[in-house]
Amino acid sequence: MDGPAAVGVAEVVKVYGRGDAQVRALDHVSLDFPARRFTAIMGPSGSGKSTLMHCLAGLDTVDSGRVRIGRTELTGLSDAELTRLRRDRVGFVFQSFNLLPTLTAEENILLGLRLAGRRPDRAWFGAVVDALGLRPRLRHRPGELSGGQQQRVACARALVGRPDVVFADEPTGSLDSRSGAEVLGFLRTSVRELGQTVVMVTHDPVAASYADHGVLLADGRVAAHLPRPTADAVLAALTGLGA
Amino acid sequence: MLRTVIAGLRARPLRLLLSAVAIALGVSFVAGALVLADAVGAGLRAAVAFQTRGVDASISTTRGGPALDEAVLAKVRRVPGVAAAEGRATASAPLRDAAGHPQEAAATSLPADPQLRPFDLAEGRFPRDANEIAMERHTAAAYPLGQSVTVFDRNGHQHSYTLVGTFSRPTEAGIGSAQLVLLPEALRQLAAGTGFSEIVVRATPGVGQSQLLDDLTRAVGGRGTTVQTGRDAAAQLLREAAPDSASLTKFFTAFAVLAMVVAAMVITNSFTILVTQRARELALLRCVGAGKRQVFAGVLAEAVAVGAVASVAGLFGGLGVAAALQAIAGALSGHEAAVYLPLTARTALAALAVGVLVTALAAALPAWAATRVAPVEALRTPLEGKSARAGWPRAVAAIVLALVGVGAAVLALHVEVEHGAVLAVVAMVALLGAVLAVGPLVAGPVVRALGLVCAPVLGLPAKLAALNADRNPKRTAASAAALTIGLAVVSLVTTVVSGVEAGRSSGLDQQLAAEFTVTSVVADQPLPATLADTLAAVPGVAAAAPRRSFSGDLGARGTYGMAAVRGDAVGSLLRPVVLSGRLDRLGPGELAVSRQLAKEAGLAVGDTVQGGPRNRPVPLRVVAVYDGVRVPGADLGLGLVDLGQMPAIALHGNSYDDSVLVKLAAGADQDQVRSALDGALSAAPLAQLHSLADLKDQMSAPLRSTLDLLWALTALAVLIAFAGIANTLSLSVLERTRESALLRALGLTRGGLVAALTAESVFLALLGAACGLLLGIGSAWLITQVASTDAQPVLFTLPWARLGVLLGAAVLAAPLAAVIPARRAARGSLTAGMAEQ
Ligand SMILES: Nc1ncnc2c1ncn2[C@@H]1O[C@H](COP(=O)(O)OP(=O)(O)OP(=O)(O)O)[C@@H](O)[C@H]1O
Ligand SMILES: [Mg+2]
Repeated sequence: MDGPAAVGVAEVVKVYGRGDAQVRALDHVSLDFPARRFTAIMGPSGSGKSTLMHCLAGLDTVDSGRVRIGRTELTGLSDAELTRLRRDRVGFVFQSFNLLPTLTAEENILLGLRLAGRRPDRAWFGAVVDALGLRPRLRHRPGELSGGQQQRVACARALVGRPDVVFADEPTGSLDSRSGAEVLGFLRTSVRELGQTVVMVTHDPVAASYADHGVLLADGRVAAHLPRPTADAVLAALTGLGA
Repeated sequence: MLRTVIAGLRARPLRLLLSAVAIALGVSFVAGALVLADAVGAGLRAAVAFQTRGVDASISTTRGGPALDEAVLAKVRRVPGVAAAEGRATASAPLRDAAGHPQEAAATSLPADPQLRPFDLAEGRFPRDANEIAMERHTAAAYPLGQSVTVFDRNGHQHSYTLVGTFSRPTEAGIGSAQLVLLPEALRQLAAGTGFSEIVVRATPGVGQSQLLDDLTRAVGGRGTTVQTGRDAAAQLLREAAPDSASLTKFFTAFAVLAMVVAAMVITNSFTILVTQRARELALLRCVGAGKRQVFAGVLAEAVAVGAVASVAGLFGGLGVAAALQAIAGALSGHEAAVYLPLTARTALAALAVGVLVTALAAALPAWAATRVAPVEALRTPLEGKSARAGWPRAVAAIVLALVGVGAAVLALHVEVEHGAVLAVVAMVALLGAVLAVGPLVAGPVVRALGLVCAPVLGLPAKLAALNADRNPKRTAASAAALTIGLAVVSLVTTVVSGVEAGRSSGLDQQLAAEFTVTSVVADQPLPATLADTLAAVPGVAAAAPRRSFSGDLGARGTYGMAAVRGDAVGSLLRPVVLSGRLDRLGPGELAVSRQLAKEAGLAVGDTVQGGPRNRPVPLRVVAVYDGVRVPGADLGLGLVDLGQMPAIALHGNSYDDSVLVKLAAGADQDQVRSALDGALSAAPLAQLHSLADLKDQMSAPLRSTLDLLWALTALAVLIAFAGIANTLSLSVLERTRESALLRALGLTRGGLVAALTAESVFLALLGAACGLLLGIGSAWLITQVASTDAQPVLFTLPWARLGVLLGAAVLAAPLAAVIPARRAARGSLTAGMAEQ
């Protein structure tokens, strides 16, 4: 019962460097990420996960192939058009440094909307904040929040604009397991109950087990698909690659 | 440790380059000001050296001593060991301009001995017969070679010569060199009876100066005659001319101090940012085992190395600055643009000390602070979010300084002028200190307010800019402070000068109820006695009264520079401010004294002084004490008497600076009367006609040129302040690379990022400029209040045009300062930005 694909890449190639130092970070990758699904991109270090996500989100350009968000073809868009697309239709959660240190939690959550000049939907804002348990922390600055709280603020910011898709790159990479579980649980809830689409990059098998679907990358290629991944299955697949 | 330091330097070339640029700019500013200060002296020394070149001995007489004439010269020439001797004579020789009016000029005789000529041939040749003349190169600009040149003698007779050559010499530098050169016999014809002011002697090779001196002294020495070596004569000339240049030197030196303060601020700011940014790196070094002392020494070594290299570069930059300013000043004044670049040990030491010491200090303080926190702590604390908030000691210091400043200001308004001036300076310095101390406290709220005001127009960029500027108020305030100081000084001086100018103008309007003055172009040559009556008869003229200056002998009270005027002109044509007594006319036996004379000689209204020579004393009754403006042609001197009274009390019966004051009838057309007066003056060829506006121009000319120079220098200070702002912004951009990338990822456009940085720069500039202007104008108000007197009012008028230029320049320069950092920030790749640690 997969819905229409929210995001997709076709035959994408991304090469870094030249000559001897050339690295093929993405080598003819074709993938579709279905809407209202939680997809995990996995793989060993250096396999091209972050590169894929940057290309998907319009943060970086591809050397060949096509990238699509909804009905919009990203290849060929100008910088200003890409910026507008990110602002209006994409949400981000990074591994670290997600927040502007000068803004309060609430201002950080609403930052994307303010950049777009959009009015926040107060009811939706309240729902997101409550779901993440951030209400008592709204007036704090990032420096006064724990790492887990900071990541939850980032999640709230990613979701508050109701984007077509949320990209998360190692969102739990710098968190302890309990805070990590909270953040992952929320991402899953946002997909199951709020109907969001989430694409998450991780190399943590436990994190991947929160996803509906797993994609395994190796050396810039799609190595395997793992429907309904469990921690053990992911671990086994990763170990298989490593061998 | 040294290796990690060098690796650290290599890893961050851009940051280091920015700091080095800040240091080099600051140092070149200091060096430039010091070189200029020395250049003033150098110009004078060059002029004196030129004037005394080839001179082995010089013979002169003191005032009232025996005359130096042809007989003495012949005697000197016969002294053994004398290779050549020349009598130097200079006479007033006004040039006739195209309109037939006399223009001030002096002529000197051509020394036969080429080595004793204090000028070099530029074009053509020197005169060979009595009908020929040579001219100083710039004076000759309006005359082609071969043209006839007409010169007046002191009786107003015209003499024509053929211009055969031009000559050059260093800038005149105030030692009064002549513009015209004639053969000795021609000069004798033009100005009969002009004695030599000096006889200069060149020794035959092999004759010692002391031997020559002895022989000359034996031949012509005696009471009132001075025989000295050429070097001593040069030293004396230098001493006599020095006071003038000393004040200019002081001015530039004061400016160098200002330069040092501004430079220190810019350097401190950028190096502090640099080391603070590296706090984590330092903490990491300590975690892996580097000792506190090692880390500290490493940072210090790096700072000293960078400081030394950048200071040397700055020193040479300073020479360039000094050369450029002299060339510009020369081009503006139209004189010979001689550029002097004396590099003294003092300049080199001061520049290097400022560069190296300030840099070391700027690095040492944050490095020391960095070694004080536990290394693990420093690693854990996120660099961002940690902001330097200002504490209460700062607030206390600011309040104390402000109280001192206001107290001194209030006191200054209520005491004598002399103490008032000192107090006013104290008040200004204290208030400047208060502003600098309070800067970090108010920087935050001010930029937040600016952000709020601009937000409706600029949107989020304005808010981001305000937040960024507010993030580290100390840094923000320090960046703005350099601008504050520069603008405070220039707005202060500009406002005071325009106040003085307006004051003099209104003082002159008050004192002189005449529309024209007529003066003699030869100061000691009186105007025709009947001239006042001739002018009074010109249609449209209501009254004309003669006036002259003289040395008034007030017996036991001393001799003073005084003025005499026809008694009925006092109170009608001349109306000085009367402090006590009454001054509606002056009769014989009456004396009006200036405030200064009243004080110096202890005179008051009603006193009687015995004037004139002791054997024929003249009793003079003091009828008034007045205060007056000094202006050529209408000067009141220290005391004022009726014209008829003057001969009895004038020292040696001499007077000078003859003038006639001309008042027009009500309703007369000024231009019409002016041409009628011109016609009436044809009988007095040496007379020069000045309107009131001409006089005002003459009075403000020296002020203006000082002001222009100051503007050039201060423009430099402001430029460096902006370089400082650009530097701070660039370093902040580097520091915020990740943040910028995050904002771009979340949807801020390139333009938005540029707008945010530009707005930040404008906020900084507005903060600095507003503080500077307020401080400068406030101080100017205080000074005008303190310095103003009834007769010499200093008005508080705001020179809107100039101040507007300042503020406009500051606000326009701010976006320029942001251009490079903003380009960097906007161009950076998003993914690379986010990978940055
Ligand atoms: N800017 C770059 N310049 C050169 N090579 C790069 C650049 N960014 C990534 N690479 C290379 O591309 C490949 C893929 O990198 P990527 O960051 O996508 O890996 P990843 O799967 O995210 O790894 P990790 O799990 O360690 O984050 C790697 O071999 C990396 O060295
Ligand atoms: Mg990665």
